[in-house]
Amino acid sequence: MKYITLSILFLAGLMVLPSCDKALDINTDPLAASSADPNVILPFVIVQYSNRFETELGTRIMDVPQHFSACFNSPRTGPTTSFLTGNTWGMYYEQVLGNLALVEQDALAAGESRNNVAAIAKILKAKSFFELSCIWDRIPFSEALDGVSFPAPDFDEQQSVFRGCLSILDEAIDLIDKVPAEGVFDVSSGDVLFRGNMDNWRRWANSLKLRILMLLRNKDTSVDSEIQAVLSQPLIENNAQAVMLRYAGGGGSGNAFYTIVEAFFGPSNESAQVHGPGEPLYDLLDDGDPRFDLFILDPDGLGAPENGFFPDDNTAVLKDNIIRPDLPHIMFLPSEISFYRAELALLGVTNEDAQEWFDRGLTQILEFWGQDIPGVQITLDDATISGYVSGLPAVTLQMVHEQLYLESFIRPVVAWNTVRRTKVPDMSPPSNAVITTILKRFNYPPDEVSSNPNTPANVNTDVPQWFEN
Amino acid sequence: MGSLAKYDSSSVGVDWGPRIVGQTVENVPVTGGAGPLQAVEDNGVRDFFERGNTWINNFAISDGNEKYDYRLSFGALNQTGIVPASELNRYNISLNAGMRHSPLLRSRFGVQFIKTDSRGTAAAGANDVNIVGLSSFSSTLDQRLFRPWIDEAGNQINTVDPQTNNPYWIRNENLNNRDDTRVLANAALTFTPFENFELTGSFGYDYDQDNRFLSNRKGTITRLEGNFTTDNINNIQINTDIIAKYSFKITEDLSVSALGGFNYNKRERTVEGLFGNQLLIPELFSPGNVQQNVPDRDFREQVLFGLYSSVDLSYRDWLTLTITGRNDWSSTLPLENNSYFYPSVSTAFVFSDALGLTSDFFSYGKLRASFAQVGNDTDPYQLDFLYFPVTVATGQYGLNVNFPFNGASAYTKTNTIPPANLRPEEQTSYEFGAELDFFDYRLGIDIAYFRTQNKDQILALPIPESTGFGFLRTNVGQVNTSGLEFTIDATPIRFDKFSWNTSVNFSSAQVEVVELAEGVDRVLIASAFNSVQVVAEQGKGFELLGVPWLRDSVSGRPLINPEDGTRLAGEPKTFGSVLPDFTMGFVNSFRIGDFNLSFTIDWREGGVMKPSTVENLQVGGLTTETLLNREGTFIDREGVIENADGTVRDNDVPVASAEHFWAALNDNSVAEPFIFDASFVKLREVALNYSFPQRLLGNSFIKNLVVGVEARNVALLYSVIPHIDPEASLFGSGADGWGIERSNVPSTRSFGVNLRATF
Repeated sequence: MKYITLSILFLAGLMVLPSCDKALDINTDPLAASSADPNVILPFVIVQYSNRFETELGTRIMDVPQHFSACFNSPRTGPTTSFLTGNTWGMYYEQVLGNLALVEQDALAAGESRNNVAAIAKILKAKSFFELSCIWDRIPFSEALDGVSFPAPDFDEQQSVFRGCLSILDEAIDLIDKVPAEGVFDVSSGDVLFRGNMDNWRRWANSLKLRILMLLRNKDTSVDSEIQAVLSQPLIENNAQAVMLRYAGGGGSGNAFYTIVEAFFGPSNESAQVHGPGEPLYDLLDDGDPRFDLFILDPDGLGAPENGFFPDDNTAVLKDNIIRPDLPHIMFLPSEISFYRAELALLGVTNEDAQEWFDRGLTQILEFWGQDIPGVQITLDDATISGYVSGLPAVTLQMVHEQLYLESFIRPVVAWNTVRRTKVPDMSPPSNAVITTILKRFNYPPDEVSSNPNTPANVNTDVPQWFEN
Repeated sequence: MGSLAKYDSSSVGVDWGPRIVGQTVENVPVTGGAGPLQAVEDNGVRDFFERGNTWINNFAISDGNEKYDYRLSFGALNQTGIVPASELNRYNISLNAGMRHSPLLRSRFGVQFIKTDSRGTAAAGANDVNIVGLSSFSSTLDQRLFRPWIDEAGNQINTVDPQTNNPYWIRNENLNNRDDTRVLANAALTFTPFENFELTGSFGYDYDQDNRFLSNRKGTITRLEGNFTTDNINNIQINTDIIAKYSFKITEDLSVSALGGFNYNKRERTVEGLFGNQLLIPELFSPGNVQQNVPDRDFREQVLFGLYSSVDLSYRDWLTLTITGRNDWSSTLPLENNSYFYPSVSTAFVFSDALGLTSDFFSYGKLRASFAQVGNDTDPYQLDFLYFPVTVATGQYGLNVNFPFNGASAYTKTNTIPPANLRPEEQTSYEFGAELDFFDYRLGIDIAYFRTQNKDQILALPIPESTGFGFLRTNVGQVNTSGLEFTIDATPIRFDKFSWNTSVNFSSAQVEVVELAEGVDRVLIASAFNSVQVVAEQGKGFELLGVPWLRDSVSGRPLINPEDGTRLAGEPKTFGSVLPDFTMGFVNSFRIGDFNLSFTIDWREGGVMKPSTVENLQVGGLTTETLLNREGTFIDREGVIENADGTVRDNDVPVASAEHFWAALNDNSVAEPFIFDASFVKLREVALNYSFPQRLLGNSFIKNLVVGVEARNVALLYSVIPHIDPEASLFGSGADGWGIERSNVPSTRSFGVNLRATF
């Protein structure tokens, strides 16, 4: 009896074992996918970039180029917090570039039919690396995004990064040239910027090249021939070609410049007095510029808040015309190109008519804010615009630089680049700053410092970047 | 309140205002009118926090005979916290019963029902609008001004200023509720077909439904439009065993007990949540009543099969040898490498019995030794490269936007590179110990040396984000832990009416990170604020990493910024282990007639800690040490200034004010001034009980009756960390919990009375 029982148990055990293999084969996440279409990855890349950019950089460093008088948790006095640096670094490298590398790799592997996707990925990649370098100077570039070969990526000099970005943009343009006439992958639903219009992507790529070359030229005028070459290519030429991510403005789809006001302080910027104009911005506009009444509420002429202070009842405040939920994230406007052309003409790099490009740029930016920006509330008529433009004195380099500063309004990295490159307008840090100039760079985030032994030692945040003279 | 000796009624938690000399200020807090500037005792902390109460009631009834037995118990815990509007109620009912159906068959079953509801749990950490930390108070801010906090229309009133919430509004109007229901059931059937052989099948079921609800009422400053979060979390665990056990004697002195078993374990976790933002109608927490809905769903499931056996050999009851072996198969490991075996061997030798050594002096002696290996798997779904559909693009300050965005849905890749050839974790441990008793068991010593080797731990290893990923899941190196533990129990005095029992326990564990992944000498374990991290560092242990002051390489003195006289920041370094060198406990118990008096002293030695509460208090000028040099400029005499030729000179640049000095310490990078030795000595507990003698109880239905009073966390006898409890921790207990604190609810001292009756 004893042995019969034991035998039955042993046989029962043997019957159980084969079913174990099947029961163990359950390690597949039912709420995730093993692959993803670029039409769903690109929206994440672009929107995540935009929202982190607007919330992290937009609402926190617009007071560094002093478009705003003060921002919350701003590095204007010198220290850059681990929140600001870590969140920004992670957004660029992990959320944006990490996903783009996979999109690009898959698209190139798929062949010509996805040249458009690969080109989009490359353009966004170049833009991201460029902005990373504009924020940190030396960054991982040539060894980045390849953890297998380079588990601790080395940091490249800024000049190399800029040069590399130009190469990536050239590759992207080459891919666009080779997009086949038929059988092209439809990326229109995922391309939330241009709905798959590759002509616009080509224009943006060339325009980004010009933006990068202008910084390179600040250090090395030997790039002039490259500048002349890119000027002959299709660029962003009118406001219809402007690069913007449009925010619908409802719940969960508002621009952070507004949603930070709504969430924390009150229903509108004018009443809650959160974002105030910086003194340089106020002073430049307070000279009959039609943008003053689009940007600034100051019926009693009280003036801008002091540098580092928020607006109150005794100062001007930025208008709800700007700080609104459907304010688009502006990435590139044609006026920037036009002002570059005016500047290059004045410097003798080109033979173009500086006055003509200056007037065109000024007209474009006034038309953008007063007519073409999505959801425009306060408008400027053509007569006002042409009257103001024609009433200005003959163009000078100072005027171009001032207009570039105004043109970059509410775009933190572009505005910061402009003031560091042109040194116009002249500005100082707030009185309680521990740095002697305006902020020039971020420190590296602690997570990268602790995990990457190749991270350079941090220097004071008022040490100029390579591209500055 | 205020800054640079200028009064500011809105600067809650920033006390750098003017000296209080009986002056009148134009704008007192909350009311906004003119009034005298008056100091508030203890910064109003005692006015805000309340006395917490705890009621514990237990009742049990049991009975049985040779055919059956059962035990039915009821328990209730009702607690109100020190933070206003916080409470916790827990009720449990438990039934455990067994039946002997025949000589061949018996069964047991048990069921336990536990219901836990909490309300108003205080927030800790950072970035939560509902945190009320010690730095939320000020020396001239009377907390009583904040009452009432709401008007009849539901608007927040009596705020310090338009940017700061009324703390009573936060506590009473913003909800943090948790309703947890847990059911544990088990059943076992044992079949004994022949003598010394048992076959047992058992089944256990653990169901936990954890429903959480958090809301910020419309009108909460910084959450003006209101929001709510619901999370419904279900955890289910099924555990089934089939065990065959056979015992027999080889000789009269040598007995054997052998066991073999099969185990099936399944765990399931489901989370369904919703974040609703921007309420239309206040206090209506419906998805249709908000402008932004963010749904969330998570599911995970894992299965483990195990086959195990053990053999126990016993010789004359003074020598035992136990050998075990177990093989597990886990669903969370790669199918081709999901099997792992782990054995153990242990032996005990009661040499006092074997060698006949017992005497009046020596009562008992045992030596023991063990070797054990334990394998372990990982969490489910860690092996594949995955893309996750996402519902929000995250932003700073919680300013998220939703997907679909302008009609476009979104996916993102995983942030963790999956492992290539994952192996099970392996822990190997050795222990050698001895138990010795003397003087008729009045003095006992239990001592043990242990050494544990953890190899191939499965970790998400932080990697540079510049690789495009944040983590790499892999088997990581080797961490050794070795230590010594001993307990000494003694009864120095024992009379009929009086006795004294004393006990000392000591525990010391040294952790050494022997090896990490290739090319990695430091791994992040926990990250917190102001650049402070707990890291595992090769060649060391679990260390606190932070930014020190920049120091002169020769003298070691802090280098001073010649521009403003403040200290400069250096490069990150480790400040020492977050773990203690040792912990000790002293327990003393005195029996005096029918009274029993006991007290416990705890001693922790070593380890370092970064308490952010202390940082906030000092930087805000809220503590007495910030009174030093408060008026006028002063020179930081400890520092030196680097000259142009590389030499240094004594600092001669004054700091503008004490406020500047403390603010410069808190420039969001330097952690050194706020890192402390975490050693402490505490009088942990004092208790006095009285047992009613039988002569008083007589023939009543009460068999035993004990009444007592007790106090816990009685006194902090030694600590160099100012202002807070050195045991406070941001992350909870465990290796990654020590070392970092931020805005924890203050620790409490509790006093209680208890009554225990047996019928």
